[in-house]
Amino acid sequence: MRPFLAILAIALMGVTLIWQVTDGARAVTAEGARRLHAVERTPTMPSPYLTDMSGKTVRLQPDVGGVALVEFIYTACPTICRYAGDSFARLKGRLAAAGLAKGVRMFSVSFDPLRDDPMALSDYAETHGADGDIWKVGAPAVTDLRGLLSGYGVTVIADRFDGYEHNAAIHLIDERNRLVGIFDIDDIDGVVEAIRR
Amino acid sequence: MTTGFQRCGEFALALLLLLLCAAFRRTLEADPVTHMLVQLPALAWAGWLFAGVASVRRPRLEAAPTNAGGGAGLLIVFFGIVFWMLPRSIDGALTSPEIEAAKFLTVPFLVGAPLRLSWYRAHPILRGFLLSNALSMLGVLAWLYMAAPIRVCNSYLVEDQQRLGLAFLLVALSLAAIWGGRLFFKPDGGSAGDLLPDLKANGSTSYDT
Repeated sequence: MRPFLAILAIALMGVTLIWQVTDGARAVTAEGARRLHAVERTPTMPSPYLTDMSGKTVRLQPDVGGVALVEFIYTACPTICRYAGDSFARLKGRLAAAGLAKGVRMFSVSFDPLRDDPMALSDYAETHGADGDIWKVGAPAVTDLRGLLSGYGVTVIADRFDGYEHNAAIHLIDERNRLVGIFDIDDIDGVVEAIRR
Repeated sequence: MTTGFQRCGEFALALLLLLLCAAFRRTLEADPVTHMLVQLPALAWAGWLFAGVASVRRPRLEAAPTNAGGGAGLLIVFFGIVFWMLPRSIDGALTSPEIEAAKFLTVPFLVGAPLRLSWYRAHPILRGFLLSNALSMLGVLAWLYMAAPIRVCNSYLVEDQQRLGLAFLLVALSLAAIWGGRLFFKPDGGSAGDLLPDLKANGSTSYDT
């Protein structure tokens, strides 16, 4: 084969490959891909039972005809989850003000169920103003944790201070338990706008 | 000319590199700095050595007319490197056994080996162009990883990402010093593009014209 033809063929194959693995040059990171796929493929999310801050069992899913906002936390978290908690608190206020709170459930889900017993969860709820009605703080059973995290595409890794780092985000779940949007923790406008639609 | 004994040694070294990369997979991949700057280069080096051994047994490999000027081979290398520079691919290698297996095949055989078979056939100006681009690309990535407010890999801590950025910067500076230094201190030590360490085989230093 002539060099020119070989180069042309390789260039075509290479560009096609890179185009394929980046979803058409739209997602170069795993997190970017996760967010893109949420919007485009609306995958169904697992809905395990959680033990909430009052020790009651609740299911991680929206009410009939409603939507749910889900974020992942651990209560011993010194940084991002505190921030996530504050953000959820502001979000709750904004939704109430916009008259959208009805039909919206908010879940702060702990991925550290061994340490986050109802006592720890209720401390966290109290700190951030989670009412237990619209906004619940809960932890799944240890056996459900892995499936829950992989279903959502959340990667939790240990940091160097006996804590964790994870791809923190706000997940919007529709009435059929499908993931339809993933937002940055501080993108409150984006979440409110998406719920309004 | 290299001897058969040396060839054996290179083949054994290549196998050893592959083996070590696989055996210490977890350790190397626990830290992005060793993942990107030890494991991936070692895999590419293994492929480079394999290609050297293979081209002795089949001399036509090195002289394939399809790869005249090294363009076709270097383009394969380019896409191989682009693929493994995507943070998505690195994250994928850590979470999916298939992508991890693909890494052990593609980095040696789509990066290291074609580089070995193409580099010395490429025109010195092309080599110089590629080297300088590699440097600036490392520099840009270094800056991105140190300064960007986003976390590029879900499997690595932000702190590790920043360390990787610093490591990229050090590598870029070291390579610039080595490559640049050779131009100044060994002006007759080869053509401008002929700046990779002395891994040449068969004494084939002439590029395709």
